[in-house]
Amino acid sequence: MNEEDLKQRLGEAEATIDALRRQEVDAVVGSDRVMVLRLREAEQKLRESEQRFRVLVETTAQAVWETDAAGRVVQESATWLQYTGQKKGGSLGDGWLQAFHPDDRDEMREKWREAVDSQRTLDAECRLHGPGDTWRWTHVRAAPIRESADGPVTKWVGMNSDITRRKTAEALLEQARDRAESASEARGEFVANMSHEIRTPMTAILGYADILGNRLDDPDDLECIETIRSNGRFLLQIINDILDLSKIDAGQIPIQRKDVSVAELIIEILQLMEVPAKENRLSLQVEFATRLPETIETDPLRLRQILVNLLGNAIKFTTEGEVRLIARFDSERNRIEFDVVDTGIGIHPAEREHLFEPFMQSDASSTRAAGGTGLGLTISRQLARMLGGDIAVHSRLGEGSTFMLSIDCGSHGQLREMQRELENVSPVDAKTSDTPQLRGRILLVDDRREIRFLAEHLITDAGASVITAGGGEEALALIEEDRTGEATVDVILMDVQMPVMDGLEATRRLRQKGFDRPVVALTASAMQKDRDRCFAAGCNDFISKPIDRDILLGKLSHWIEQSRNVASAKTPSDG
Amino acid sequence: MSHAEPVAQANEKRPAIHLKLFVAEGEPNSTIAQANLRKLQRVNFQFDLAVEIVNVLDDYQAALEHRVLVTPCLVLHTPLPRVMIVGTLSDQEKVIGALRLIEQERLVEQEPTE
Repeated sequence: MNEEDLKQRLGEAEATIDALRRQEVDAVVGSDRVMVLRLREAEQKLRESEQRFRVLVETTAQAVWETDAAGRVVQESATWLQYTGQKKGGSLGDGWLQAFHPDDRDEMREKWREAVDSQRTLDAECRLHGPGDTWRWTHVRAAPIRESADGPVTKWVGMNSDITRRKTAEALLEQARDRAESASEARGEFVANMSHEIRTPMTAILGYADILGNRLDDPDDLECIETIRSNGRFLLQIINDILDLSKIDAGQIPIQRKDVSVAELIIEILQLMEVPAKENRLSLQVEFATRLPETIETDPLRLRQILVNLLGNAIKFTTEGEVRLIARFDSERNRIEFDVVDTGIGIHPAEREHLFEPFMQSDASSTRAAGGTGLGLTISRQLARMLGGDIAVHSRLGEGSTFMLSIDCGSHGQLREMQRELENVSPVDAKTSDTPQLRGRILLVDDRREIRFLAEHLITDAGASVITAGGGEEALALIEEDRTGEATVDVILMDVQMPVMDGLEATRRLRQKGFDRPVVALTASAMQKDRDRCFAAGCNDFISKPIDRDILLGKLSHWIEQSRNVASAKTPSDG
Repeated sequence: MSHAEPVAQANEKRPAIHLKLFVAEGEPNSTIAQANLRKLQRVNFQFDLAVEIVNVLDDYQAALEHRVLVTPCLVLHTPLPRVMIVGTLSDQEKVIGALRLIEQERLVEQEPTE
């Protein structure tokens, strides 16, 4: 190689290096292959990604900062100082923590130490100092930066984004929810109070109508009495429905599941609904589409309430034809289904959607004729859902409607042919209006003369004797007197709300003194918690006002018998 | 080249300057170099250039033979002395100077008169 040649080659090598330096090269030719270099492309991508990242950070974050591997600020961030108002040098080391709200600072310090120790991303929301003496909510995120994927942490990069607006909105939302909750609570209380205020006078109205009815003979007079009674009952139904609905809303209706005989349930309902069906000259049929479980696990009280409501509606809105109850078992979904089919007026499609909303009835003009509070379906659907099912409706205007109730069966009994089951159940006699015969002595405690009069009338009519007291103290005195004498009170009928000494206090004292006979509370309150208070005070049972004659006499008959058992066993308990 | 001579005659003339442009086909710098060389040919059409494009991805042996180590690389191999220009050929003046084009042209024009 001569000197010229050598010079040339050196020149070429220089040109190559020069081009490499200018990044104008894209491939290197090796001895056996070509290697493509993509330096520029990689750099371009890096630059683009950095730009993208910067745009992202600048639009979402108000401050960006860095710390060393130990989590200490070595180089201050201008955006941090500007955002927090910290003085130059103030954020160095751990100084940046001072910018957090005093209430949040310790938590922040703790979280930061945890993040640095575990080398995991920090994610926190807290209050940060702002301009002047304001505090702003900030979202802090910081992540460790490593030399390589699994290399050691070399530093931390963090950013703050302002979330004050979101926090304010959340706080407002929470306030609104609290307000709504307390409003709903207030409404529940109001409904309970209102029901109490209406039930008490209603006791008197219905009771005196009964008494007056027994004293009058003139058919016109009796019709007037009947009008008073039916309207009174209707008003009471409204109160009960509203109360039910408010209890459902408040989640105060407990579902008490137990094994229920399907045959007995159906018979009971048929017997109950036969009377109004007959009154409307409708036939009431029951059909079984499949075999049904012998027993199902549900709340019989609520299931009965739903079926009675659906059948009641069907009867109410059907002027001729029939009402059918079709029962079947859906083994796949483990549900029992009841179809209530009528040949009534039907429901307009537009009204079907709102049917289950409170105070809706299919046709405003038919409402008055049919009567009802318009709450029945709302309550029924809510109850059905609580029993693990639902209610749906099919209807054709003028041809009738089908309400389909399905409820969960829980763990059910064996499947049976129901028709045969029904025949095996002996028919229960229809409710007789005969007065049950009571034998015993009742102490009746109530501060209101008319209630005393009414209850006394009902009880003495049934054959029992009654002594009365106008308040708790008088009742205590009478019992004291009674224990020294011969005559013994079998059952106390105790009004709960009385001035001076109320029924609960009187019951408590009686129990303290060793009175072991049954005490039945009498109150217009219908909420569960009021019942619980009665039982806690030592009452054995509970009758809600207005006094229903049959319920009153039924319960008294039961408790007189219990009382006699106590007496004959001669094992007085402390109650 | 005289303006009186028909163009056809000029085209028939055997090209005197042989260039090889070594590229890595499809890569950005090689693409730029090719474009720059085409532009140089278009603008300075008076130079009689025979250009061969060599894709080293297909034929790296040719690159080795010409001692080309990187792409893009333009080699003037005829007439000697050999010249190598590495890079994207973006500076046209420099390229023209390095290739001694003006000198070469003069020499070529003088040849037939000798």
